[in-house]
Amino acid sequence: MLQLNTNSRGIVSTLWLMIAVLCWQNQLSAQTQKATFRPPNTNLWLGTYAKLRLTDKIFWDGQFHFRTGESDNVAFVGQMAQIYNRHAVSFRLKPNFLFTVGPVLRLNFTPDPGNPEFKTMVVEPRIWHEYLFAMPYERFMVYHRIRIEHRWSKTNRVGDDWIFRNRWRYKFYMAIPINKPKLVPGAWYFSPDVEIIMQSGKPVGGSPLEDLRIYPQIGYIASPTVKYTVGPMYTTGQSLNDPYDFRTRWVLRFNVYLSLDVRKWEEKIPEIRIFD
Amino acid sequence: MKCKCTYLLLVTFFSFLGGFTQRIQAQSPKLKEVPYLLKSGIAGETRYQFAVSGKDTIFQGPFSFRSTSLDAEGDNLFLSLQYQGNFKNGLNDGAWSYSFKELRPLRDFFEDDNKITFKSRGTERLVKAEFALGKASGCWEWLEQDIDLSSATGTSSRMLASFSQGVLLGDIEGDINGHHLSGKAVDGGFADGTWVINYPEKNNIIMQEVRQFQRGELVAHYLTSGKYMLHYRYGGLEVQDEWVEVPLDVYLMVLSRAVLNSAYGEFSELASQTFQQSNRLWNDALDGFLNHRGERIWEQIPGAEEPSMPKFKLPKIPAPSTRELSNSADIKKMIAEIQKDLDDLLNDSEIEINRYINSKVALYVEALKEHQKVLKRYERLLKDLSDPSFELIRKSDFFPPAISVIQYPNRVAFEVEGLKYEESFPFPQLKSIEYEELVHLKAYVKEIQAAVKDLEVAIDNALEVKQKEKRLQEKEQVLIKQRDEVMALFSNAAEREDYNIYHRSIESAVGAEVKKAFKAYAALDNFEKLERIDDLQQCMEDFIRLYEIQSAIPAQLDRIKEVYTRIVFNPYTMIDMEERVKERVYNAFQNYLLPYYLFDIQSSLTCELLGPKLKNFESMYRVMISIREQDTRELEKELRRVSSGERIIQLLQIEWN
Repeated sequence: MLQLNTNSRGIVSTLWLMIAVLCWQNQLSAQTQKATFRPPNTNLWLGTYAKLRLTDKIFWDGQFHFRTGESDNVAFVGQMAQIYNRHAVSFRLKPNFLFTVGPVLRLNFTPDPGNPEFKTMVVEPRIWHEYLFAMPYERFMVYHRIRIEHRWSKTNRVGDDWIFRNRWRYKFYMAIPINKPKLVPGAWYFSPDVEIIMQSGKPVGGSPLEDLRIYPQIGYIASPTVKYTVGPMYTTGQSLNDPYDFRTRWVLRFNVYLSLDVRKWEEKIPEIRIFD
Repeated sequence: MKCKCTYLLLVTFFSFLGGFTQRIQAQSPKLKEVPYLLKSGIAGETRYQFAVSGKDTIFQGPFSFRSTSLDAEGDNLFLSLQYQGNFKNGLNDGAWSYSFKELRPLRDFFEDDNKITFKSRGTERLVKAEFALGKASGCWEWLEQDIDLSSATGTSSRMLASFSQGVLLGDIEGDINGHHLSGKAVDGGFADGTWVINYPEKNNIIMQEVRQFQRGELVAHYLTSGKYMLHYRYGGLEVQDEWVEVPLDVYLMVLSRAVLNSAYGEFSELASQTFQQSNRLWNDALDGFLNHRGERIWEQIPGAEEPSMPKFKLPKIPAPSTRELSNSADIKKMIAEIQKDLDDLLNDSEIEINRYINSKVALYVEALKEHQKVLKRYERLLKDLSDPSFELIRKSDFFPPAISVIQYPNRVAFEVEGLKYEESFPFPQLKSIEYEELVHLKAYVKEIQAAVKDLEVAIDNALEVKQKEKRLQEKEQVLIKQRDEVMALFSNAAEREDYNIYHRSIESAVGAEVKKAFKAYAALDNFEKLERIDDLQQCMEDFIRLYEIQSAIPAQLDRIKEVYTRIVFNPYTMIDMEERVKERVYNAFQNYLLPYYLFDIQSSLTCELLGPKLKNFESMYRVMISIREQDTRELEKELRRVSSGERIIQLLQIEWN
């Protein structure tokens, strides 16, 4: 555990250093201009997260997001935004360390439905890998998540080319039980969640900060296999074309997390403390 | 004393005639002085006349025998034996005397004709007899006199009797050591009339022992002393159609057997002693004529026929039957067996110890002793009945009065812890006192044997009860400790770590039940307590066991909970989370079965109900543990809407009491 913590701290330190360098570069280039923040868009993200335990250490990870955005008249759910499929294989290499790798296929719907200049839907494939470090404390958990994505994307505008970028994501979040001393089934918990998403690649230019997400959530652990979270997420990040232009969003998120064990009954025996 | 003159004249006449005839035949008697050896071996000098009759030499005329010797054992004691008399044709005839002196020379002596003569002191037995041609006839006398300074100084004993033709006839009278005796014999020598012994006067009272005979048959025998009178009672001496004549010694022996007072009834020391002494006096009085120092006086020198002493009649008894002998043997055997049992019982150390503290044992021991006394008397009676003397005693007459006086007491006295008690006791009763070949006695002794066996059992029971009481005390001590332990456990007096809510929830009920059970127990008598204490102890043990079971409940519930919990790793929280498995089974247990069990226990907190209930939790626990490993899909379906503890017990197939 001590070793894990040391490792995670090292990684986190490196990440922060990277962010600091990116920001410093950005500051150098922005010395003469002033950043502007667009009015926030509103979105609704409904997500299902499923991890199927395949073996003692291997999980299949399947995530599905149904995202809507505002239209001229309707906030949050005015129009379809994205459908998001993320699949991966997770390896529980150590009790508090989970490594995940897999593909993503995101469907981006047109931001202006009916406009012929935009395709109704374009796909955005990605490869992602993730390093999740869990730091257990007596009453709560602290998590450090590093996710790196390699994405091929293009806008919905007709005639746009594919661009390739790398995303560097670091997320810090906690799970603090509210009504129970520990995170056990039946526990409501509060999860402060902050994620910074940096990007790199030729098209990025002076906009490395793709997104900063602040996402306080309330969760409920219905059972060891099911939990729910809900919360508002505020995000902001540089526009790709204009580093001084900061997009902002309010996203209402509702997620269901499923942890299923598909192994045969006999294989589950070792985890049952019958003969302790 | 009266002599029968007619008899004397006849005897004299015939003696004279006989002597005359002999003299004619012997022609001329010759005097001879020669050493002579008596039959007893005593040597002396005789001086006699003899005659020749045919080829034989016979005594004829005066005869004297003298023997003086120094007693080998006595200290300077001279023994002088002297016979003097007259023979006629070789037969004692006329006056004869026997003298035996035991003399010690005194210091006074004198010389006379060149002989040194010492005066002496001692005693002389003198028997003066009259014979007629060898047969006792006329007046006889024996006396015992003291001699001092060579002169007779006094007579200590003297008896006179008359004989005719060798048979005692007429009065017998005299004194022996201060006792005056008188009696009479009639024709044939049979004792008759009153035979009296006047004992020496003592405290101005003369005791008189009287025997009344009727031609040899004893018709009365009594002792008077002042105004007191004791009758000697005899059984079986009555002479009927047939009788036998017996001499004095046999008769006295039979008397001593047949007297009921001394042998089988109450007999005072004085009466007993007097009976024996009187017999000895009569024996000595009559024996004095015939015997001295163990020798028969009139057989030492040939020519005399020993006279017949008084004769007595006794019934002629047929020989005992085989059945009678068999019964007697059986009874003796049974008595021996009973006596052995009695000895064993009375020598038993445990009984001996307990008789001082256990009233029942004390009573039974005294009853055993009464059996022992009675059986000893029966034993003696049977021994007597087997004695040859009983060939002359009619048992059918002797037995009833003899056995009648052998009786158990109505009440038995005993002592326990220094206090004296007396209780009536049901000894066996003799159904019939008739002899009847000992049939009734045999049956009775069998009853006694059974009674002794019963007593043995009763003593065993009494001891057992005592032991049980002791065990009861020990058990009660344990019981009180158990009760205190139960109360302390459930009230958590020791503040034990294993005390929990299950104990607390029944604390008051347990306390109330324990008090109630003890109150009920205390009201019982010892016998009931003996029967109940084991149950009550078991009850206390049950409560203690209940405490232990309840102490284990939290751990066992945890265990069930743990068994019904699966640890699941949640990859989102990265936490091992507990997941309930077989939730319906677990919930049925947790929500309905466990409360049902607890309610059942609370409703069963009595000594009668608790015991079987103690296994329920264990049964329930085992089922819950075992069912975890089983396929319970169907069961869980059935449990879906079940909230009844009893139904859950059925569905889970729990052995429930």
